Amino acid sequence: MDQIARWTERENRNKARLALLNQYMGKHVAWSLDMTKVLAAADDHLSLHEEAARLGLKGGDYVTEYIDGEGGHIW
Amino acid sequence: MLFPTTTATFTNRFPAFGRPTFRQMPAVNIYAHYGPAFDFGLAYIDTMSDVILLPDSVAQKLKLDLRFAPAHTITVVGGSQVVVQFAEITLELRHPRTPIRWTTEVAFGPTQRWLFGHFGGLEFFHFTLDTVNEELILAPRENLPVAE
Repeated sequence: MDQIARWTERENRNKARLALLNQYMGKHVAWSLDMTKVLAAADDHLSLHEEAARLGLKGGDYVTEYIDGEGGHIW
Repeated sequence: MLFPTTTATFTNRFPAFGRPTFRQMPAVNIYAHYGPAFDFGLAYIDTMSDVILLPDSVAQKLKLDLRFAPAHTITVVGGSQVVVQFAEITLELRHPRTPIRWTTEVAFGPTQRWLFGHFGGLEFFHFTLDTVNEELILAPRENLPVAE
């Protein structure tokens, strides 16, 4: 893959993730293992696991992350 | 172990630097194990954090009893002081070639994000960050207390 193709691929990947991040601000999300799809979302971490279980997902099927809300930071 | 960096947004745009809206952050998918219970989250590499810091809710998910766990006060960005509690758990980095497990003490506190700090974490790895190529390299050091 040449350099331009790599940059284009990265840019597309970043744009796709940014679109998802904007959609889920302030939420806890369950990412697919390749981090490209949001499989479940909830207002808190434990509810996220409950929602994932309700959708038939097992613990190792997804990666959790908190998406900062408007004006929010790590804490 | 080579990992892709993660795109993180700014919630407020900077008034300078060409007004970027996001940047690449170093983060790794990490398992937290305690007995048969586990949780799996995206941990941000944080070179300013003395410890590995996980949300209190992860302790609940792992069914950890923190009632008598040692407590400590840490100062976070902005100067606020926060009480955290320590417990020994096993962490696991999964990589197609080499999964790595090690047992260490981590802090649990009122954070939302998982932070991969120095003691128990970065102290056991050579760490290289290449934001231009969107790559993060973690190479285990000899002092990593490998768990079965």
